[in-house]
Amino acid sequence: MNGGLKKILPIVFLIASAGQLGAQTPEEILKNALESSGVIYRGRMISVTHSGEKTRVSEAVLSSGPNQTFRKEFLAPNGTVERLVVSDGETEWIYIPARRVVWQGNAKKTDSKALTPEEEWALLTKNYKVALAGEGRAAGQEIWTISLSPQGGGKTRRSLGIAKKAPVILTTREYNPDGTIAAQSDFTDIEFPSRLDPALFEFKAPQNTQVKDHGLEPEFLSWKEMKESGLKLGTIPASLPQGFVFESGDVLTVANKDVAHLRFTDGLIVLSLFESQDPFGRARAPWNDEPEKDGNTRTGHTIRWKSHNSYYILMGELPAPVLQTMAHSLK
Amino acid sequence: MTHHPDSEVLSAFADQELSLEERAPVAAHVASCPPCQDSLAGFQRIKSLAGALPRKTLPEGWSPLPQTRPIPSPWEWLKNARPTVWAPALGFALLLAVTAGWLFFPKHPETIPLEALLAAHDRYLDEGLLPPADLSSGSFSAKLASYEESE
Repeated sequence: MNGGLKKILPIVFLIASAGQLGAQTPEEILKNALESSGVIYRGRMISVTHSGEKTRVSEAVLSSGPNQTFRKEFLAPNGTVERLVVSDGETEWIYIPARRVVWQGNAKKTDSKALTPEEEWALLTKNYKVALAGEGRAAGQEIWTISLSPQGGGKTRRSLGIAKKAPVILTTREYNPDGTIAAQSDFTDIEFPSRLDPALFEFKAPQNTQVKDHGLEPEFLSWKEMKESGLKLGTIPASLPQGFVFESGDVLTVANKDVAHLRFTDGLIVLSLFESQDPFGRARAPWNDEPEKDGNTRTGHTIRWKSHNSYYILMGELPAPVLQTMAHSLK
Repeated sequence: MTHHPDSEVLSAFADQELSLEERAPVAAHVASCPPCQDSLAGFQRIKSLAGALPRKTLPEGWSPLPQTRPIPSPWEWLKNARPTVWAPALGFALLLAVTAGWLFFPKHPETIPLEALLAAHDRYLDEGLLPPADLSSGSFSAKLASYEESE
């Protein structure tokens, strides 16, 4: 290859990419991927999360069908299926073969949320800058890398690798404020057949298996409905620092005790606030008025405090000091 | 018998209370052991003196000494004791047990398991506009599995 060609090729490539991109903005690429839930694919994925000092790796075979059907086979190190999640679009089953238990519940029902998809998208683009970070390849497919950078400090940054061939997210990266990776997922291989066997998205509990309702699928109650639920609730602000707004609430019954589950979102990160008249977690752990770090979530933390005879736990994928600031706003 | 029989054996020998098998070796030893002969002579002298003591007849109506009974077990004592004795004792023991339990094993309220809340939080993340960073959304089912294990 002669020197002149070497100089021209990168410029040609950039122009071609820009031309390709010029048809879509980064926001459009991302929105298209989020709205295209009916893409049929089957592939293998590896996910890594760093929670506190622990690192967890999981491998799964994912199948996605029409009408929000899916099948997820989470593999044990020896390649056997240690956990199976199947949805027919209406019901979701979680089968744990080693314990002969099936948990079932309603499938994801995003239409019932208090915030419409448009409102949630507006919140996302208000709190995060969506930009094209580059291009690359993942699972044998060409991808765009879209980054979501928080407008304010202290929050995680996210990047998504979206296939050019089909609007499917093939890679994700979640970055801590210090730039280290908090979590990542990568499809190692993927195919886009025209159809998949419908039997993949059907489930029948095996014999001698206990089937239980997990009861954790959320309801989406407004603050007014939460107050009318009869639960004793403290005063909750409509919004929190760094762009979080109250989205909806729910009432859980855990160990025969009622727990209020209040959710705040900034369009990307969700904060869950649990409130009860009974303490949570470890039996002999002290509860103080001052919010303090309690434990870890998947990539974030939990903060606990007690106020006016009510117990609170706040959790979300944020650094502990940021969560403590949120907790002070909630007191 | 190469060793000297102890005083109990010599005394029993003097009182002719040993069996034929027991008596033979003792007799053989005493026959050739001057110290044991002296001890045996002493037992026989005491026996003779005791036998020479005057006898008295017990008066009429005198009841024999009660036979020695074994020390009763606490349960037998309790069974035979009067209610005015064991009832307050039992009450005091119960009070002591309750106080000790309250002091050393304070009751803590039952807590709501955190695993259920973590599972609920993860389940809600699946409702988000953007998928969680774990594209497989495996966190909810994993939390449910650990909640099931902790139940």
